Amino acid sequence: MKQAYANIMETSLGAGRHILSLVLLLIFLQPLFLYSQQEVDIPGTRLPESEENLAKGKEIYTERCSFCHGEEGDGGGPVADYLFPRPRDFQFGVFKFRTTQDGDPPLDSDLYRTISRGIPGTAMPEWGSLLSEDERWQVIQYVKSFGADFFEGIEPVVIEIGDEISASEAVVAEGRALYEKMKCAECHGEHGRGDGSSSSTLMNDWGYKVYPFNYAESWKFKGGNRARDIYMRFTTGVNGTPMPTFALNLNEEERWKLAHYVKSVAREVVAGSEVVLVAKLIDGALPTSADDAAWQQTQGLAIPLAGQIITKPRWQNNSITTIYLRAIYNSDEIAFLVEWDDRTKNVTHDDSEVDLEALMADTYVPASHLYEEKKLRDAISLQFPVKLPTGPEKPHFFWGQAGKKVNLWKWHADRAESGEHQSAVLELNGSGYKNALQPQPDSSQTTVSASDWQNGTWRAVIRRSLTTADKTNDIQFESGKLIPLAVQAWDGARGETDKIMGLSAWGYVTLDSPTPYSAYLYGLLGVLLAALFELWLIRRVRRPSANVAKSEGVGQTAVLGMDSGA
Amino acid sequence: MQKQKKPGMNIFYKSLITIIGIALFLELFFPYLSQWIAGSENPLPVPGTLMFMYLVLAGIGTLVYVASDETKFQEFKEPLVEMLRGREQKEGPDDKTHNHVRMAILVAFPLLVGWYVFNQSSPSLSAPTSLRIQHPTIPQTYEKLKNPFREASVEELEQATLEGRVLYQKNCRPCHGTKAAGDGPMARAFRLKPANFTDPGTIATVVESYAFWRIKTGAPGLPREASPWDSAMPVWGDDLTDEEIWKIILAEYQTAGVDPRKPEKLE
Ligand code: HEC
Ligand code: HEC
Ligand code: HEC
Repeated sequence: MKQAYANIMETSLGAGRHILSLVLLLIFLQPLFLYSQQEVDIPGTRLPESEENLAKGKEIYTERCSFCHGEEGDGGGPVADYLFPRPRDFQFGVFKFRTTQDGDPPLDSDLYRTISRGIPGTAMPEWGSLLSEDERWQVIQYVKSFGADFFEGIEPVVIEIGDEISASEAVVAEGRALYEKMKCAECHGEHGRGDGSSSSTLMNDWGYKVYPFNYAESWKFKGGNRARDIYMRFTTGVNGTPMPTFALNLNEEERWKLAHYVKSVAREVVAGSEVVLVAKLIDGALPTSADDAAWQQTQGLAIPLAGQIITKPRWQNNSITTIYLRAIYNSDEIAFLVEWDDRTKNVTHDDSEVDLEALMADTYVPASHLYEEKKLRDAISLQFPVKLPTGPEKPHFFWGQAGKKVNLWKWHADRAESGEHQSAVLELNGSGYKNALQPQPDSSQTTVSASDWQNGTWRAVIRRSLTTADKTNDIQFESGKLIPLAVQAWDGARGETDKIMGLSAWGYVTLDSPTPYSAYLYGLLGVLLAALFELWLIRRVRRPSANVAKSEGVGQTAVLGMDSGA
Repeated sequence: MQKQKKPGMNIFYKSLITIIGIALFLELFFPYLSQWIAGSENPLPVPGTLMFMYLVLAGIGTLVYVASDETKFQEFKEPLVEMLRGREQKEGPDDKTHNHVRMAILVAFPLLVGWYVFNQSSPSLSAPTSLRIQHPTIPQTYEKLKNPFREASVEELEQATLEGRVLYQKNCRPCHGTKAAGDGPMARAFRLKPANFTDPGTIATVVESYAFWRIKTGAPGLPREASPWDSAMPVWGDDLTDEEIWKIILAEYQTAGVDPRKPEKLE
């Protein structure tokens, strides 16, 4: 018998394949999904603990959890070294997300919630979609068994949570005062961006680096982003980390106020909800600083970033996970306001800090790369195709490809600080991630920039003329077109340089133009033609003789007519 | 020219209702259906261009049905002709309303056309839509490859799968997820989502050599119709050996709980 392989496309799949393509197509057309945190229903009754359930739990654990948490529950599975934060070591019975007082073990229902929903912003996935309720209780029994001494014979004190006080401006303002009084800012920073004075020095109980949370990125709250979750976190403390408990310092009302303040820091635009940045047209000069009120009149876009894990050195612990953009243009120029949270301002650059060659020995860069702060500069880049695409085809979103160049505007914090250049932006061209980026000649460096860093946030205004002389290397902005736009970001302190960075997929920027006169003209023409066509039809049906003879013709013309009008 | 009225609704109105029904289904219900099928977090709305295509198809379908039979066609035409011609004024309240409605439709039609043309010629602010073929044809050089571990001893296969699982979790998990559900921590930022291997429409519909081709050559290996410029899928041939890739394939199917498509057997 001769064996042959089916040609996947052409043969047997037939119709099924088309349905499949359509389903995938729909997924693709969907704007980036919003990161909404999910809540978990905790079942009222639970599976009782037993030898048999422990054995089942072990099976599940070995199959699903051991790669990260380790066969022995020591948090040292084969993947652990690449993750920041590291997977939990269960042998000390220390858990972060509890409803029990500081230092007490968690309730089983706390573990059930964490395992079901996962820990946002970390490698810990949600298991609610895979493990049944019973399986979750079984694995919980097994996880507890690694640190059995810390659970046995202890009756944890449960934090009762009363009725929520609803948020209002006054409540938030009082919460802000408590934030100052409790000195949360020492770690979490003046405006909650996780940039407090001691934020770079904190270690967890296992001796690894830990950063205070940036409240602005509300999708990442590990223990949940509702006011009651935040309330619970600072009441119980985040055990195993320097995040203390404030149970004794605040009464219940104060806790709600503080929780509402913390919640209020969240940024308004959600990353991924939109993909098109609309540049607003104004008369007169463009804003030269980030403080200009004109920016408030524009619509912001938040772009999510992933670690660069397409080619070596792959880095999955990117520091900057969202970049916020605004754009304004006039008849000559366009200006972008780029904003991103970065808890440290790094304006010096010493390449020798990082041995890229050594980091490329493995398929991924280990997380330990960020444990020692590096003297590298912060940077971001905006990326455009050099030629505006005419169809769906674009250069690859990671620095383009051979034959399809991209134009990069790479902003460097050291250039911004030194003030030696008219612009902190170095214009480059990319033709694929395997080729080095090519700096453009001085004559083509035509951007102007202004930037500042305050309380854990960088803001850079980058301006350039809409069109330039260097048509072979520069993006030429045209109104009424969707112009692909992508971003990349580097946090120097965390060792990000070269391809150790965060990057986004393609989004778009479009120059919002007033509706052209031709559109009105065509619209009017449309009305006229349709009216004439209608009159003609009416005249035809008025004459019964013609109507009978050509009835079929009339019917079809009517239908076709509507189509061609479209 | 009064015709005897048949009982029930005129076929023209039936067709109209069917088409409106289809439109409503696509608009209101279908997003939730595809959300359920795709296991996505949000409803997946039907994009405008597709919606238009579907409705044109529905329209053509109805026309073909109507035109298949002369009496049906006459019946279908009747309200149209009546609308164009207007009813004779017999002081009946019915005819009066009919004529008002007629006027409204006659005026509205050109305005609607004008509005549509206007919209089409003004600049649009929404992201463009494009078609993507998920499973283009496998290049011939890959078509006949076989997973060497499928022919090895049971112990060897088990060992290879175990090693493959670690390689999968280390290398593929950030995008495709630890459960192989396309939901790794990096997936959030990519517009073209990493494939969800637990979905019956991805690796379960292809043979192992197809997966091998995709893993080895990544996004750059894709033809135009599969929009390689939007795919983050790395070229693993640069960093992993063929043997490692075959091991990962064993683990990928096992983790996702699906089986590869069997190669077709010819007599
Ligand atoms: C891909 C790696 C990975 C896998 C697989 C994984 N985890 Fe985790 N898990 C983590 C990381 C990372 C953390 C620590 C997050 C932190 O400390 O902020 C964590 C933390 C936890 C915690 C601690 C929660 C707390 O309150 O402190 C529990 C419990 C847990 N995981 C259970 C599980 C179980 C059960 C499984 C298997 C069904 C599992 N994990 C699989 C990465 C993983
Ligand atoms: C000594 C430094 C320190 C102080 C002071 C501090 N925090 Fe924290 N906080 C941290 C660290 C570190 C984390 C991150 C823990 C982690 O990621 O596991 C954190 C995390 C948090 C979280 C987020 C938990 C989550 O779900 O991700 C909240 C909410 C929070 N802190 C609130 C507060 C409030 C309110 C105050 C003042 C009343 C405060 N913190 C004071 C260090 C501190
Ligand atoms: C940077 C993110 C990323 C990483 C890491 C990654 N992939 Fe992918 N992969 C994707 C994306 C996005 C797609 C969907 C687009 C496409 O088909 O190219 C995909 C598609 C695939 C497909 C095609 C599935 C189908 O049915 O069409 C296979 C097979 C695959 N990946 C296997 C792997 C394996 C095995 C690994 C690890 C060795 C891996 N991927 C690592 C992003 C990634």
